[in-house]
Amino acid sequence: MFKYLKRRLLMLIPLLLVVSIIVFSMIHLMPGDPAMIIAGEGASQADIEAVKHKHGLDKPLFVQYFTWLGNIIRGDFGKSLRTGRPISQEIGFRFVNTIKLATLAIVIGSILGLVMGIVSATKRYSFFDNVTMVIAMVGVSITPFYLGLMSILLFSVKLGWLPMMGVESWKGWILPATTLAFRPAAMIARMTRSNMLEILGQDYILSARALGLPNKVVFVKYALRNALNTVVTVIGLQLGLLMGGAVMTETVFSLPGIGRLAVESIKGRDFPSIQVSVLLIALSFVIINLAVDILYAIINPRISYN
Amino acid sequence: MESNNNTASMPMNDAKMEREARIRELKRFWLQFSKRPVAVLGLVIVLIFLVMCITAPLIAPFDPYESDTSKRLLKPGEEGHILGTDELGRDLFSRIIFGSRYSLLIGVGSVGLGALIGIPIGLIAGYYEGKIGNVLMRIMDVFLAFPNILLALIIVSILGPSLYNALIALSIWSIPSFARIARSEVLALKNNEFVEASKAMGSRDSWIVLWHIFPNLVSQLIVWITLNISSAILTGAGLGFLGLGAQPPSPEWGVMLANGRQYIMRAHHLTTYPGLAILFLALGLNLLGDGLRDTLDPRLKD
Repeated sequence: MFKYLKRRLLMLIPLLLVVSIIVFSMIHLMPGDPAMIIAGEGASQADIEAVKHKHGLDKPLFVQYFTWLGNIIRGDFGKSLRTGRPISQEIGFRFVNTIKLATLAIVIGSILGLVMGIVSATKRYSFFDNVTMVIAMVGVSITPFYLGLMSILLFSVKLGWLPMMGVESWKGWILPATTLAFRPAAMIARMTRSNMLEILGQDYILSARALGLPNKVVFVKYALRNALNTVVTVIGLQLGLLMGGAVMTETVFSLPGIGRLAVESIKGRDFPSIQVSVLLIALSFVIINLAVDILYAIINPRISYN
Repeated sequence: MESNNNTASMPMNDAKMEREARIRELKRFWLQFSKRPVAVLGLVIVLIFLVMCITAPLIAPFDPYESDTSKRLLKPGEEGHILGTDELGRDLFSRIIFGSRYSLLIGVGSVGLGALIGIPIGLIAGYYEGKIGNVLMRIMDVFLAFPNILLALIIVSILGPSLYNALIALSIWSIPSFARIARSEVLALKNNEFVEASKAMGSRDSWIVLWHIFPNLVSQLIVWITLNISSAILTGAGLGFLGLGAQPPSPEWGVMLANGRQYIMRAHHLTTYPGLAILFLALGLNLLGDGLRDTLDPRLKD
């Protein structure tokens, strides 16, 4: 297990390097001179030269890359072109917010999806089963931003139960987290249902029942454990969509996270901020992915660590 | 599954029989498909949106761009505006009808482009395992490691926010999945007898892949294309909502939602109805995709 962990962590290094190279190249792939982009529209030739010199843009590309990477690793992300403040000041709490949102959504989505899937499987073709499967079908067809807006309309505007925005209190997290959790919950419910149906028909379940084990034991010990596998698999597969959903959820609820920073920076052509936020989205994706993989290895003993 | 024995050049008689067999196959498919009411519902929804998209100028009661400040934020049903008007007095119903063009363009365009590039890559990588195949698939893996939103953010920040750049981003994102499916199917098929037989008869590689292996892939690809269009439409609308896809004043559904968000307290119809349009189109495609999968390829059932 430890070896597996070490190998997975080592494998992160090349992946992150590739990402960093892509992010670094972004500014050079854009049409136009990077110095001109940083200096902004209507800058004089002298301004552009000054920017070039100040940001080291007159040096060879690989020197620029390593300088930039070195600064990033030391936590110096440069200054935002929009606010003029160091980016490192506003990145920390945003990163925490995004990770918190994603984690909450995964936890809520897993619990909801698992419960819905299991009850549906045990009460197949019942009213509950039908309703759940319709909700699940809608869940995979609805976008987080629409769901978010509709829940604001219902719970904030009409009923006035929950705040529209702001995450100062725990109440502010309820709507964003459940909005983002909806799609994973729907996927997990669908997969868990069909998996449980398959498992409950297996010979080892029959033999456990024939041995006279109580239903509860059969369920929890034999069937549920397999269902947990499904949950982790789905989360692993859905993680990319979840990150996309997080960006939209942050925008809908005006939640200060990395995704929203990325979107705002792209619109404002604030290049240093774009680079940092894209890098951090990739980093959080990689971190959560790793956590899911490790969890998978713990839950599923059939996976070999070598 | 399609028949595997459609050989190179055949006499007239065989060609005729072949055609009849195809028609029988289609009939059998329809018989099985139409037994699933949910799948048929999906098909109907998708067809409605297709008709809407094609005949938009004919069925839209108003010009989607024409604003009239005296008719701002009318509620649904007022003054002949079925779904009301937006903050500039533009007819919401007409804008939603025209919006179907943007969503279908993004969905079909990006997935079509992705399939056009991804499938040949997968066919080549599967048929020529070894070096070429490995290099191709490693490149695909790198793309697959990126969540689609990240790819979209990177591409849009390089090229600038627009409908077509969002389309490019989404098609790049769909390439690797098509390559993977095509490759795994080729790997499974290429050692079959019908491939060996064709080889023995002296067929060229390209002929074998195109006429013997590819037809076996079609049913699986149709399912994947349908489901993929649905997620491309959702992500495309999402980019529009974030201001990174289609730009105002285009009546794109995501853009309309972003716009309506400011008026959610006073005029929530501006967000409710465009969002419903996205939901229904995606739902229709998902139901259709699930139905096609269950009919064409029972192995894939989740």
